[in-house]
Amino acid sequence: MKLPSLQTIQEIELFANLSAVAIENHNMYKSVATLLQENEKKTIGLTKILDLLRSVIRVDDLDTVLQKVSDAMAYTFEFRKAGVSLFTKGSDLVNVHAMTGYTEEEERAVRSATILKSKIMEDFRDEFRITKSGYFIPGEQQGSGEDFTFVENRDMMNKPRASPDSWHELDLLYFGMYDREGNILGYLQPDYPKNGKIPDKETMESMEAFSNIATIAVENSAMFKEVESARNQVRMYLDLLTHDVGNLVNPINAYIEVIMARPN
Amino acid sequence: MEFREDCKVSRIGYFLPVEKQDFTLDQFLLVRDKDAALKPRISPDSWHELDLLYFALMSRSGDMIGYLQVDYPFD
Repeated sequence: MKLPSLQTIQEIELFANLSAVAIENHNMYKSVATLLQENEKKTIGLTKILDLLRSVIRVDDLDTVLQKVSDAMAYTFEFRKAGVSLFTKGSDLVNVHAMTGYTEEEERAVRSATILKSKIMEDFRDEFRITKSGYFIPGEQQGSGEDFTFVENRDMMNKPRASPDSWHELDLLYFGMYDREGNILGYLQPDYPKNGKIPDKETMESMEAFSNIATIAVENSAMFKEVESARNQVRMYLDLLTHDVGNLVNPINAYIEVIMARPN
Repeated sequence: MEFREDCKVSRIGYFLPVEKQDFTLDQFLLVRDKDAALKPRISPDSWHELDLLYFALMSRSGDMIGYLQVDYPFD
């Protein structure tokens, strides 16, 4: 075996340069593909948010709007599951109005469960408050978790948290929906982050925007119902008035006709 | 990996002859003939079992992104 000549070395060098260009092209292609994918995701997210806002402004059916809130929140912040629940006036019961990412069976189980406002409000404590209306209740504070309405993986319930920033099966994240007077109307609950990590404070602050949108939707819906009810009442009064005026005018018309029919 | 200036034979090519190495035999990932590895070079232009010939793969910005290695010339 002989040492390669300078010419051979220069020829091999050409192949090395070709390889370097190929590697760079591949890396660039990968970056472009990743950027395109990210852009596409952002566009879809933005479309969902715009569609949601349009529904809020148009005062669409409340459940339709809340479903859009839940979907947009889960998509934007990459949670596998999310839900919007409202408290019932004059009752301790919680009504689940929207769910995202649950199977039909899971959804049926959650919707048929009895969720109590008093129980939920136990978690809305200052020690768990992360943002203005966001509460994070770590799994370690939940006891056995046997009273949970929904748990995806029961085997994980009693296992310790994988790392300090990992999401635990029993972790809870709530965003309260507060009206203008500061009354709580319900809450948004994203669950199971796709990356398995607890969202940081900044992310939670952004997530809060969705609970504000949901609150506006609920308040708009209530106002719309009030306006519609008032309009119906006005229509009813007008009908009645028209009828009563008619009752008054009809005999007068009859008398006039009789008088006009008389010969001079 | 040794991309030493004194071993540079072309713009991106580095030839590290066994005589300039301070590796031990067990530091090599692959040695085809261990007996030959312990013997001296047959002649000045002969390839030695432990000779190394690398070509740096450089990006447009001048960073080294890898290397190409040729070994065991047929002749």
